[in-house]
Amino acid sequence: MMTKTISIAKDFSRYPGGRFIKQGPWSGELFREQVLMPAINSGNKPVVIELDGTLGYGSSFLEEAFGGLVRLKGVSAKTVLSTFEFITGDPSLIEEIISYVKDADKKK
Amino acid sequence: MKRVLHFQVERRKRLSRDRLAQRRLSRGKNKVCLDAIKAPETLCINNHKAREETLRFIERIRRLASMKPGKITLDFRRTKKMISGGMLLICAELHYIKAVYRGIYFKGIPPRSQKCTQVFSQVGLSTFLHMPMVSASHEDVVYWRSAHGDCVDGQRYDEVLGPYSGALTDALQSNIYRGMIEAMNNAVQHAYEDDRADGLPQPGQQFKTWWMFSQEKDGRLSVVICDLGIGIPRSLPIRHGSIWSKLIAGLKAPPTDAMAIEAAVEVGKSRMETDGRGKGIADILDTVATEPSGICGIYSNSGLLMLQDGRMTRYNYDASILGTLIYWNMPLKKS
Repeated sequence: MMTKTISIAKDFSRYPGGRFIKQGPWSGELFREQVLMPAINSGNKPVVIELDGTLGYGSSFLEEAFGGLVRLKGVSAKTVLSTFEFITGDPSLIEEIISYVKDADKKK
Repeated sequence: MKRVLHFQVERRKRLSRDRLAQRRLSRGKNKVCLDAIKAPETLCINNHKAREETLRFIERIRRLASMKPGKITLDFRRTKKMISGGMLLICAELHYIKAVYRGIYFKGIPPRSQKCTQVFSQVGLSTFLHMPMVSASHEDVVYWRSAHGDCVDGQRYDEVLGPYSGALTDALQSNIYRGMIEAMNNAVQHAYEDDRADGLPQPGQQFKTWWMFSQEKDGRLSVVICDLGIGIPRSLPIRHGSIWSKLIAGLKAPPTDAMAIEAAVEVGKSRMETDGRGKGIADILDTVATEPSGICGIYSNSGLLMLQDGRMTRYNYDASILGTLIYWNMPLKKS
């Protein structure tokens, strides 16, 4: 099966926003609902996410998008971390995302 | 005898000056608005004395607006120096008052300083105050940029910082973006959750505005962003009640505003009580963490938390800015 690759900059927005849809455009909540959840539901693994090319990421965006999969959508941390692989020149972003997923799992 | 003569000459000169001024007043030439509120010489919030004068100026505007919400004249003729934080705060306060009293009409008397007048035009204040527009020609002025909004919108970055894309390191640029998003997030999500306690009616539940300036000078970039909400010292107990209780438990006196700002940063760093939160205010300080000569200041109400040369310092002023203003200053890459 072909690996699906999602570039946040090209397939979502170069300007990732805040946390919630109601706060403004290109939010973490929107990314989770429009991009991540369909990827999880498709069952395809792995799904590669390219993080580079955007202007940057607020921590609220990342937490709501990835941590929110566990906190709000009931997806297990194991599923999230086995479904998504990340490509970026900034490894600290990957560490950050993983920490949000694991922390959300601990709080369940 | 000589002294008497000198006195009489001076008296005649004074009377003649007064009569001339009276005649001008009555003819409407160089008409001075007697109830104009005079702006201070320096618009600034970091220097203690200039901050007091700037905040007193703003308070006078608020008071007059609440008593007589019609035409208010602001006299900037004395103003010679504008620091970005003070200037941003004034712009924000004027917009805020206009949002509260929609019928208010602000009229500005321009500064005598050409450079200051140009800044007013560059940031849109001339239009707001119905003053003549002038083109920016001074090298310190052409690089002032402004934006404001009421949602978390990363695209606004380009309005204020787009021209500097090649002049910042990638790491610094993405850090600034992150800090900016976090500051907008704070304004939209937390800042306006209660009455600001400025003596004015609330502008409405939909009001969640932030304001932003950038300025390039001497090879360095300054970015300031502010909201006119309740401030971190008041929002921290609401958002993180148990952290706040721990903070005040061991203290003999109420915590200062600067201590509250520092506690908010620590909350973000340790992500205690995260309950699904990002790093929050910690992101704002981290913006310049990778830049040795970067400076970050978080002004909230009366407090200031400053990160400079790797050291954090706390400072408390006498008067509150009634909101939060974040200041970053960093070097631009040499071309």
